[in-house]
Amino acid sequence: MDFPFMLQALPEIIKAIPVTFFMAVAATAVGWILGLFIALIRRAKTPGISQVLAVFVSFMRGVPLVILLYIAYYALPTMIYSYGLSIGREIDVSGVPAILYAITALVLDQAAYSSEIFRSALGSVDEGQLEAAYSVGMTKTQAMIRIILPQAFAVAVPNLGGLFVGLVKGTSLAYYVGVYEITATAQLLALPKLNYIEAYIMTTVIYEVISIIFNKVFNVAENSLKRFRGVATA
Amino acid sequence: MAKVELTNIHKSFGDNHILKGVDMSIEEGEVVVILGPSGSGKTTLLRTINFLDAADEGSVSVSGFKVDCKKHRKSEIIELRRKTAMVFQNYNLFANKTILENVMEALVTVKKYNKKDAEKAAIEILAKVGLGEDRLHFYPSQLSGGQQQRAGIARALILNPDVILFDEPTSALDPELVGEVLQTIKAVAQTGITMIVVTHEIAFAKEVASRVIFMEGGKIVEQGPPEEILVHPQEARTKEFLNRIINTNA
Repeated sequence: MDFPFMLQALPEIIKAIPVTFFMAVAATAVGWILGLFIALIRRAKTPGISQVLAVFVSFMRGVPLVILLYIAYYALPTMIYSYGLSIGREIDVSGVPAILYAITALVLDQAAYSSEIFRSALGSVDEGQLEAAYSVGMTKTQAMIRIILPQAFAVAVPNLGGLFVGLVKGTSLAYYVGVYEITATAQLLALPKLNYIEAYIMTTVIYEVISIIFNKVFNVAENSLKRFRGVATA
Repeated sequence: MAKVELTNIHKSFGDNHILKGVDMSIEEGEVVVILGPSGSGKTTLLRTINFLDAADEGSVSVSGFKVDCKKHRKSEIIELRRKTAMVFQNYNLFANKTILENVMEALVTVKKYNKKDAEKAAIEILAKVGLGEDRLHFYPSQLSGGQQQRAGIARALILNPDVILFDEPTSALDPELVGEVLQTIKAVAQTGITMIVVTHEIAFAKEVASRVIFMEGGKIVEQGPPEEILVHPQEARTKEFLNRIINTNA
């Protein structure tokens, strides 16, 4: 074990953590909002869009994340470029940083997976409460925001936590499209003296620590959101 | 002017024709109890009044505000719902809110009260249904069915609605809790508010109703004062139903 290498490399790898977080947080913020809307539309069974979204979700769940990243990185720029030409403009796609393509792929992935979590969570809230909200004169939006969504979120949090931790690990695949996050940085540092074992041990520890921290965060969130689930005395 | 007026209400679920042209006119301060075997359409009829189930045909009018069931707008339904309130069989309290918040909720979000006033009004109403200060901050899941249903009644009362719709308010309760809820409903009836109650509690109907309606097969079979319908029913189907109920209760 090359400890001097590890000591030297560790700060460099740690410096890459924000890149990993940036991808994860951006993909979560955009992806989960999309996921929530997909879930709401699919539950409302809006004809047409609902079916299209069902196909989208099913497709996204079938495609490996690596392939999705490749599609975003190689196919997307070409598509944007030729779309630009079709409207008579030459768009410089080479100037777009790789991380944006990676985030695009992660957003689509998160939208699909989170939509399934939201869909089942929304379904777990008793329909009667929606009727009760209507019966006192609330609009659909009011009922959703004040009654249904808070309960659905409480149900969704454990699964969302798992999804988020999975995503943090999934960002390591962005290495394949040239984003220097944790894994890619470790690989790069390991290269000159072939310190791969050391590099992989360090990355594993870093991912483990991140995962433990976020599991804890989501546990706390779960407990505070579920405070209304008291012990039934009936 | 009638407080609640239903004209030619028809409702189907798929091929199942539940309501077959129901007319009903209810005056201010009446306590109307609707009886009938299960599947007679009594709950559906109640739910067409506040459009939780929109009727396919006919019209609903509450305090002179009339909505055509065939072509209703969202805004009309909301306006109609704001004149009514409902008490549900399964209480349907908001599980993420305390008892106090459940009762305040509509005052704040619908009637735009400030929180302080809403809270004061809610505490007052909750005391009236027998839920004291010690219960205010409990979540529904921490209360007995009877307490939950009384909170449900408070949630309806606080809106000061033109009519309260009770959908089998005691059917989901343990037998020993039925009494406290019926007492509460009786006390509400005595305040003179217009009420429509779907129930199987014959004794309650006898004591509290100003009118009893007997429904079967999606139609009103017979209606009149309780002593008339419950003691001297004219229609064979009403007699049969009452015999069945009284025998199983005995």
